[in-house]
Amino acid sequence: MSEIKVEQFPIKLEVEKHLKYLKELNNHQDELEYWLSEALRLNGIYWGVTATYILDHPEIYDSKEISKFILSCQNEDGGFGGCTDHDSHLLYTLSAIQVLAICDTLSEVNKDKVVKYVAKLQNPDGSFSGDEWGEVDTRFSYCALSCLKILHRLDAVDVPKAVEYVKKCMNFDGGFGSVESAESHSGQIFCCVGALAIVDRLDIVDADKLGWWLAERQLPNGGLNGRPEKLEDVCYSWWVLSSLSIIDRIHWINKEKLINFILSCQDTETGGFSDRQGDMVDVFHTLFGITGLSLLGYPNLAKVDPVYCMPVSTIERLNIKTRTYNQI
Amino acid sequence: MDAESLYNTLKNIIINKTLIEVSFVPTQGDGEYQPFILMENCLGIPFPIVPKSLEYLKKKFVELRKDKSLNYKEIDYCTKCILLFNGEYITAWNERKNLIQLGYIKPEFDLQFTKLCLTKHPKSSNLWYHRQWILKRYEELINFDKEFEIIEKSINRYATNYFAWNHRIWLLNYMTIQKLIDEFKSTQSSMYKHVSDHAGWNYLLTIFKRIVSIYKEDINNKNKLNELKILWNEHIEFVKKSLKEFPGHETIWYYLRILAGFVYQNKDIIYKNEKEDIISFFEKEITFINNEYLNENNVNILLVEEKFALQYKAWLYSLFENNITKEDYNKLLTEIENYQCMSDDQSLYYLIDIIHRIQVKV
Ligand SMILES: [Zn+2]
Repeated sequence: MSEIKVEQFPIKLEVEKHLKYLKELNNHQDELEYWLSEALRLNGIYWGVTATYILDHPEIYDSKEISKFILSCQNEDGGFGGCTDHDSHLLYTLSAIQVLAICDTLSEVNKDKVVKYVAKLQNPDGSFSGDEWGEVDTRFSYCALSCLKILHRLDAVDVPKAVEYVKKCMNFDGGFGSVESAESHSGQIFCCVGALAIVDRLDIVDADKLGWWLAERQLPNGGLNGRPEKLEDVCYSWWVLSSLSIIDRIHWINKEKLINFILSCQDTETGGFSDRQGDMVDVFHTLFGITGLSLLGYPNLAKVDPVYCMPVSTIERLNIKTRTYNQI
Repeated sequence: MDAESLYNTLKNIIINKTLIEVSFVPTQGDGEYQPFILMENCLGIPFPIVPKSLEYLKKKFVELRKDKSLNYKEIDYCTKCILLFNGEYITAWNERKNLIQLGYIKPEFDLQFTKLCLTKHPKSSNLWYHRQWILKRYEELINFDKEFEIIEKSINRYATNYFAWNHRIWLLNYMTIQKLIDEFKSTQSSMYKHVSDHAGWNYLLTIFKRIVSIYKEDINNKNKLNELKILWNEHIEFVKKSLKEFPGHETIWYYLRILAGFVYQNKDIIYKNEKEDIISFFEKEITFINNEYLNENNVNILLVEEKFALQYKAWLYSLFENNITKEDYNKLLTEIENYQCMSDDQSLYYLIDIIHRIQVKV
C-alpha cells in the first residue's frame, strides 16, 4: 500500500508541543488531576515514557531518576503499587516492568521476587486475580503473561490453564469480555488477543469473526468506538487497531480517515491528546494517539509493537518478539 | 483553611450526617460545615480543596498504616474521606476489607458506604469490586431489589456502564431458575429504557444462557423443553418487534447476531422436540430480512437499516455455511454493491473480503 505522507492531512502531528506537554507532566502537583491520579502513578509513567520513545525522543525524561522512583514502589511481596506506599497490584507491576524494560534498567530489580508475586495470583481455573483480594479480570491475565514474558519466566505459571480461561471469556460475536459472559469490549479484546499472542495461541481466535466486529467500530468521522453505539475515542483507536493488527485484519479499516481523526484530537496549543476533539487532554490518550499513528505508518515515529504496546526496539532487545506485524 | 482542619470538618460531617449523595462542586460553601456544602444530606466537595486534601490524606493514611498502635477508628475515617474524593483509591479499599475481616467495620456499613460512593464514582471498578467482595463473603446480605436499585441508578448516571452490568451478571449466580425466568421477562420488558445499551442486550442473552444450562440438566423432560421453546420463540418475536419500534439501532442487530450464534450452538436443546429444526430458524430469518429490509418495494427503510440487515444476512450465511450456494453469495454481493452505490458508504469492505474467501471454499 502507498506510504503515508505528512502533507496528506490538513493538520500535522505537533511533536514539539507533545514533548513539552509530556516533559511538564510532573510540574502540576497543585492540580486536581495530579492528585486524583496519584493512586495510578506508575501507569501514568508508563504512558508518558512510552509516548516519548514512540515520538523518538527518549531523552525527554531522565531514565535513571524514573527507574529509581519505580523501584521505590516495589513492596515486600515483590509486586508494585500504583505509587509509593500503595499496595501491590498486577496493573502497576506490569507498568513497572515495562518502564524498566524500556529504560533498560531491568537488571536493577529482583526478578525472582516479581515472578513469585505474579505466579501466586493465578487461580485454579487459570484466571489471574489483580491482587491478593481476588478480583478476576482478563486484563489481569494480560498483565501477568506480558510481565512474565518480558522477564522470560512464563514457565512460572500454568500457561494452558491461562489460555483456557481466556477462551471461556470469548463471546458469540468473536470478541472477549472481562469475565465469562461479560459483554465484548475493545479494551478487553486487546488484553485477550494480546495474551494469546504472547503465548502463541492465536489459533483460539476466530480472526474473521473478531475482525468483522472490530472493523465495524470505525464511525463515519473516521474514529473508532469501543462498543456498538458508543462515541469514538482516541484510546480505542489503539485497542481496536492493535487487535486488528495482531490478527492480520488491519486493512479492514480506512487508515486515512482514522489518522485524520486522531490528529484532530490533539490540543495544538498545549500539546497532548484528548479522547475526542475539544475535550481535556491527558497522558493516557496522548500515548494511545501516538501509538495509533505509529501503527498506521505515520512518518517519523518509532515503531510500536501491537502486542506489548512498547517500542519495537525494546521488544527486539528483549528478544521476546512474537512475530513481525504488518503495518498498513 | 488548612488541610488538617478540612479533614476534621469532613470527619465531623461523616460522623454526624447520613449522607446520600456526594459530588464535586465549583464553589465553596459558607454554612456550618464550610467550605463543604451540605444540602439535605447531599455533600458538595468544592474543587479547589481537592488537591491539598488528597495530599494531606495520603500522608495521614501512610502514617496510620505504619503506626504500630493500629488506630482503627482513625483508619476508618481517613479511608472514608479518601474514598469520597477518589473511588479508585484501591489501597484504601484494601484497608477497609482488612477492617471488615478484623470485625471492626460491619459489612452492612460498607454496603451503605459503597452505595454512597457510587453516586460520585459510578464507573469505579475498585468500588464495584469492594461491594462484590462483601456480598461474596456475606451472602445473606444479598438483597436483589437493593442491588438492582443501585445498578439502575448507576446506569442512569452513566449509560453503558460496563461495571454495573457486570455486577448484575454476577448476581445471576445466586438466582433460582424461577427467579432467572422472572428476571429475564422483566429485563425484556424494560429494554425500551436502554435500547442503545449493548451491555443490556448482552445481559439478556446471559440470563437466557443460564436458563438453558439449567434446562439442559433435564434434557429428556419434554414439558420443560417445550417451555424453553416457548420462551425462545417469544424472545425472538420481542427482538423483531424492537427492531421495528426502534429503527436505526445497531445494538439490536448485534443482539440478533449473538442470538443466532447462541441458538446454533444450542440447537440440540432449543430445537429438540420440534418437527422444525435449526434450518427452519435460519430460513425464517433470511425471509424476514429479505421481505422487511432488502425488498425494493419497501421504500420506508433507512439506508442504515439496510446496511445492518446486510451485515446480519452475511452473519447468518457464515454461520450456516453448508446451506449456502454460490448463487446466494453472488446475490448478497450484488446487494452489498447496490447499497454502496446508494449510500456512498465503502465501509463494508471487510464483508466483501470475507464473502470472497468463503466463496473460494464453496
Ligand atoms: Zn478513551
